[in-house]
Amino acid sequence: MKKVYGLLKRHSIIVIAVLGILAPLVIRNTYHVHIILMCMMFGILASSLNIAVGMTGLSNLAHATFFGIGAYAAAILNTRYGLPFYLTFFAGGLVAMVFGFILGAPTLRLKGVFLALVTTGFGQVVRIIELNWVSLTNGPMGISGIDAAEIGSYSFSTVSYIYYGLALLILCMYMSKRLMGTRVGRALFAIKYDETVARSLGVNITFYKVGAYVLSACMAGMAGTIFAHYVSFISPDTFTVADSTTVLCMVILGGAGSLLGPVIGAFILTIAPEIFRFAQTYRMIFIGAVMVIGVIANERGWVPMLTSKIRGLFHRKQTSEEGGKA
Amino acid sequence: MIAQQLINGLTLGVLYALLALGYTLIFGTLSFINFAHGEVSLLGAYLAWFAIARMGFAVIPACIFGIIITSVVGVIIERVGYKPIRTAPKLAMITVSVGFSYIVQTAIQLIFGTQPHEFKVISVASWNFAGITINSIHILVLIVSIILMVSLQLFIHYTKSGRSIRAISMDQDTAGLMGINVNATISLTFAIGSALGAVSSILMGMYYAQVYPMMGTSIGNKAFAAAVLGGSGSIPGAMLGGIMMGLIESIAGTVLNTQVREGVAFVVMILILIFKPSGILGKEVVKD
Repeated sequence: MKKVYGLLKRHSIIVIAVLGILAPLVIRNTYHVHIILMCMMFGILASSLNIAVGMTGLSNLAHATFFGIGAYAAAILNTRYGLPFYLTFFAGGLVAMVFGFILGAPTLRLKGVFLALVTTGFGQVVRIIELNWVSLTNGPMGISGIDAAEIGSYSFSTVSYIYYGLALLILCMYMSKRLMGTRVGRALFAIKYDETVARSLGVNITFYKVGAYVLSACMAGMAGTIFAHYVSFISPDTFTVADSTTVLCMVILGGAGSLLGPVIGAFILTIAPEIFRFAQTYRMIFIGAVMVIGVIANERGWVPMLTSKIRGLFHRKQTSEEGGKA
Repeated sequence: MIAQQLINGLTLGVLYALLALGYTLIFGTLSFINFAHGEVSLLGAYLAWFAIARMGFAVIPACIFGIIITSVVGVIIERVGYKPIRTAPKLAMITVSVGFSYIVQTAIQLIFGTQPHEFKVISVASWNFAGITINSIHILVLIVSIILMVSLQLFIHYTKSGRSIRAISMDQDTAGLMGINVNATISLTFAIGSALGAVSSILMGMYYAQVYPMMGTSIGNKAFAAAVLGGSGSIPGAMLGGIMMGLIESIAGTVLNTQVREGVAFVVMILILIFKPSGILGKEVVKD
């Protein structure tokens, strides 16, 4: 039992991949397929936000904005200039990276609450630009008629978007995993725990902070392009500040800094509101309550708490060594 | 035209200032921005509306009812939500406050409906001086706000509780060792902050002659931008920041266009945070 558990945890990426590949084969209902795709999208957002929030300790309340920027970039390039999906995909990532740099470079010396404020402001400003720069974004009407994604002669069905999203999610998780094990990842964690110490040990703070931010923005932007081609219509209301806070909530509930936690947090918080759809009016109360109770119940996040509980079931004698890990 | 905008901006500004005081008081004691403050404050306006329109209260008792209940809700949220995680990373507190903002906002929509309600509670007289229109609400807002701000300053500086608040904002642990009841004082800050917010939202409701569920978020956002502009944690800063924000917004609305006006507060806030994160009058703590 212990062995199985350890194996699952060590190969969590493979587990997610297998589940993701199998899911569309079993599930045929369009509505369920849509939910799985949204799980992938939010999984990518949570996993990439985790690089900035969980690993480096930078707060970001505008992650959905980067997703929106990627989606807008894809929509504009596709509808105006007819660029195909495989180009808009990278272009969207690139544009999001640029915005991540513009936001990150001057503001990342701010700490905690103030960084959260700057990013909130950034999200609002981008939204107001999206609403008012009509010649570029078509304002509140949004951009419609985005082509379905195709690579060569292969045109995407709904299910293939899932595989594409899954591929990006796996890439994101794999990257996080590799980061955690290397010098770069240790530098990021060092910045999170004590910036002064990290600096005195020779970590180039600015470089790593901006790098983590830009990388996380890029992933969100790429996810945005997949989403834009999938829904074929985007408007400023597609990516709200509430989405940004929901993503942050996924990361924090899942366990900031852990590899699998944010992704599971994303899955739970995407699926749960759908299950409770009959109580649609109470949806935001539910999300709010989850945020409040979740954080208070365990500041470390639910998923690490549960995993250490489960571990505890398998070998009771050992004291919780999981607690020491971030 | 500009003079008229200045009057409007000043009126809006003191209302932002009242709300910003709540953000800054809480920032002073707990060092985090309480994202639920705007929504909690809006509760005041809705309760006052409810008391007048549905329960047949007179205006002043209705407002007092709204202010007291809001204050109690503010304290309950602090006790339930923030007290258990005071030592946790600030991101946890921010998340909890965002959670509460969702809960309160949805609760308002469920209880009072999603439609805007008319909030005409006092008869409005207006006077015209050389092309500038001033109505009784402008005057009411200015008088009430100035009285409240002056009394808050006096309270903070010349009472024992006020001194406790200042002590806690300087150093919570030491203040506790000196015999100050930290929990009670933090609750007091939330009570005062929420009450001021309730006054602000009631007056705001009178000013726009309506209350609507998103009002708390949109005004709250501008108020925390104002608090940052003035200097987080600084009480005079919040007043100055609020008034400046109101004026900047009115002038931007005239010079540029009304759409852009909504974003000005955030641009100002971002610029302040980049170039002078402590704000105009800011220090780390609630003192002069």
